[in-house]
Amino acid sequence: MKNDLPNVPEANGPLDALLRESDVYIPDDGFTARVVAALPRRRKRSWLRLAVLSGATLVGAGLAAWQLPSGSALLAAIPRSVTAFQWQTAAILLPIVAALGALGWGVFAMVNEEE
Amino acid sequence: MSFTDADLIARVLLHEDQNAFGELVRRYQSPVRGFLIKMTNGDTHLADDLAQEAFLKVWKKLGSFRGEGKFSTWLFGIAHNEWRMNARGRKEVALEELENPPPEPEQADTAASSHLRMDLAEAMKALTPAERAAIVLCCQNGLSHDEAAQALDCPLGTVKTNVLRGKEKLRRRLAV
Repeated sequence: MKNDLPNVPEANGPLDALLRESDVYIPDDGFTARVVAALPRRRKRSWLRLAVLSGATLVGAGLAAWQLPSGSALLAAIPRSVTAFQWQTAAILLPIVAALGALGWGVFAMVNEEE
Repeated sequence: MSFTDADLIARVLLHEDQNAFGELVRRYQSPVRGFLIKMTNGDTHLADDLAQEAFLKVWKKLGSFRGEGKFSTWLFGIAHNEWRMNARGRKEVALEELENPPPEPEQADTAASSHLRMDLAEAMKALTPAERAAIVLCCQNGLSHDEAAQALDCPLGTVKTNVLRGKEKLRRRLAV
């Protein structure tokens, strides 16, 4: 149903004058300073967090692969799995790919959230 | 030299200029805090907390402001949302509150009640939150019905009805 009421509020009556008069200016009284002091520093923190998160994950993953008994074999299997697809190697690599995917997703979400 | 809102917004987005953002806050703190004081029935401390949260949200989300409408409209929308979330969190406003206004007082048709003149601030408290929001935005802050509908995230017809209904209630209560 079409609404036939006017698009702009009528503002000529005594009530409208009263409403306008009652809308007094509120002094700042330090409000702006409090808001500005509370502003988060978005980008710097974002990139710092991104660098720390990515670096720590990569270092951790590298150390884990190095320390595991089958770590060296696992690392050696990566180029082979690329050149000749093998189900067993793929099964081993799948969690790593999933972990990297999760990391990427997390980084993407973090960057988007900050923006 | 006076910067426009668009200038200040650009400075914030390009350089994270906190001074430019401070100027935006200084420019709009009074209408936003005034709006929230009315929405919280005069609780100035809560209103200031909500206003601060609203401005912090503006800082975070400024990149998503398209500039299609007025900055003030977008800002009032965020402030209203802050109030709504807080009110719901404190269970002061049920989801259906907009449809269930508080009961009307006895009308001024007796000799005794004809002397009753509530001041505007008190009379505003008797409106539903939706009517109050529409009245404050349209009649005190100069937003058009379209802009108020955008800020309050509700249909245009609802805003028009709430303004009309709210003003009628105020007229009756204030006898003007």
